[in-house]
Amino acid sequence: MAKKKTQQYQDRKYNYPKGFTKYGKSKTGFMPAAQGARTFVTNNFDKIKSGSIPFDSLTQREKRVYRGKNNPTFENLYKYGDKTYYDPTRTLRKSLDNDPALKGKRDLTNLLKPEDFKNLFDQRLNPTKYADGTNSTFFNFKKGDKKQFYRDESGTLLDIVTKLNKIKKSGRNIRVIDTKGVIHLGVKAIDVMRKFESDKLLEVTETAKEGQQIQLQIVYLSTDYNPFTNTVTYNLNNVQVNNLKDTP
Amino acid sequence: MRKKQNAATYYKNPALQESIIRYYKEKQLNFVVKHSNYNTQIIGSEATLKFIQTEHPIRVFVAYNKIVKDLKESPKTVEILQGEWSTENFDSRNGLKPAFYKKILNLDISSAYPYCLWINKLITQDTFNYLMGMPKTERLPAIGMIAKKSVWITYTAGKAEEWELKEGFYANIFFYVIQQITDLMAWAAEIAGDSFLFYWVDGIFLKPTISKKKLAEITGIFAEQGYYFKYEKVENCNIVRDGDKLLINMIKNGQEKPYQMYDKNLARNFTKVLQALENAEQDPVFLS
Repeated sequence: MAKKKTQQYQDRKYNYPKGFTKYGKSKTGFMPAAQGARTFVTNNFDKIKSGSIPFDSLTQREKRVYRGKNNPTFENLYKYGDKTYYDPTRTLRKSLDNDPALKGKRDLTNLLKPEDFKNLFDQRLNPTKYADGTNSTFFNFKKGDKKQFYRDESGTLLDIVTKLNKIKKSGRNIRVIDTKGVIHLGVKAIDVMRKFESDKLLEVTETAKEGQQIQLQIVYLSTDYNPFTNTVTYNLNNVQVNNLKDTP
Repeated sequence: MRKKQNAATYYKNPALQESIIRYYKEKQLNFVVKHSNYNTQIIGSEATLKFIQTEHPIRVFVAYNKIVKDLKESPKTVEILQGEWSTENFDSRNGLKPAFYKKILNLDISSAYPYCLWINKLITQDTFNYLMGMPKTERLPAIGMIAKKSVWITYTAGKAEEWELKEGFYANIFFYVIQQITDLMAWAAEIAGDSFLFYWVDGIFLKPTISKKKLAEITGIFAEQGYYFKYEKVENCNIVRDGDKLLINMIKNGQEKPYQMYDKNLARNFTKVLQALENAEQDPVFLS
């Protein structure tokens, strides 16, 4: 019996835009499917987002491109030279989108001076200020009570371990670099993260008095996402720990 | 009556100029050194020594005098003299990437400065015709002379006592002309959009892929504003970026032509981002 063939989706035929020329020569016919899907989604991104082009009407490839572009991690991933940078604060995206000429730009190589780009990432984007559930954990409870996490105004629980479990279930790969530089993957990676947070919490709890409010924020400064391998990486060597009870 | 001084004119020779100044200083004489774009003069009590960079024919000075005479009579002069005009006459596309183009499109405004003076009723038809009858190499210095600038250093008993910067009374008119042409280029750049590469003084450089519609719009605006333009043949355009500097080399009409400019967009972008970040700090809704 012949093996049942999986149904293949069909790409749309993407015509080159009218008048498209390269080095003065007319280029006619169809674009390669991958380039076409990217061009189509890029040109119609706002329409797809608003629903005037239904998401269901997209081809598989277009859906994949759209999901990538619509992903908060993707849109906060920047390129400068040959390096990739992630802005966990997500403020740079909003600042860039504020200007029509910079809207949607992610490769900032030719848009900012190297020293200005460094200044932006090192000084201006204050990760602790805009810490959220994807890059931080926030313990908030009284010593002696059950351990609890802070929930922000939008209702997001600031607990990175819970978040990572959710991310893992959605099919994304997890990678954690521990304090010794060893790389852990999957469930083991989440365990390493949990252990790391427990140790930090223990340090703070031990010094606190019974009944004292414990507010501990752990922000993972180098949070990186590789869209090609669909892997999210947390580096435990680049972490900011804020014991907020010490903060005036 | 003022005593007529001995005068001698030489071609620019920095070593000779310096040795004469050193000699005058050692002899503790009273003299004035005048430096300008065109020449350096050492004015002593007995003689004036003039060192010139380029010897312009008399018609260049005639043209300059005609322009100044017209400016004195033009009703627009006073208003323009009071304004502030930018002299930055180049720009590039925001985010211009280093690239090599086998061919690019160059639109040049013909005789931009004389036309600008004439269109804005700053010179008469007669002066305009006189300027247009001159070769380009003489026309530009004649107009540029209205922005002449010189530094006068006065030496008393061999010591530099004071200095003074003297600017041409009509310098601002020249800056106005520069801005008029730059504004026109910026307008064309905006229309060209992604096809815009850069502009330099009175010429705009575009990708060959620019649509005919956009090109027609740009040339339409040039014509509407009263300027003539021409297409120049540009090949092998190589754009290299070195930090915030753009180094552009090309073959224009068979001759190699290098351009070097700083990319103003980088500083502009950074300012915009900082401004937006500051607003964000004050307005939490921005982040939501």
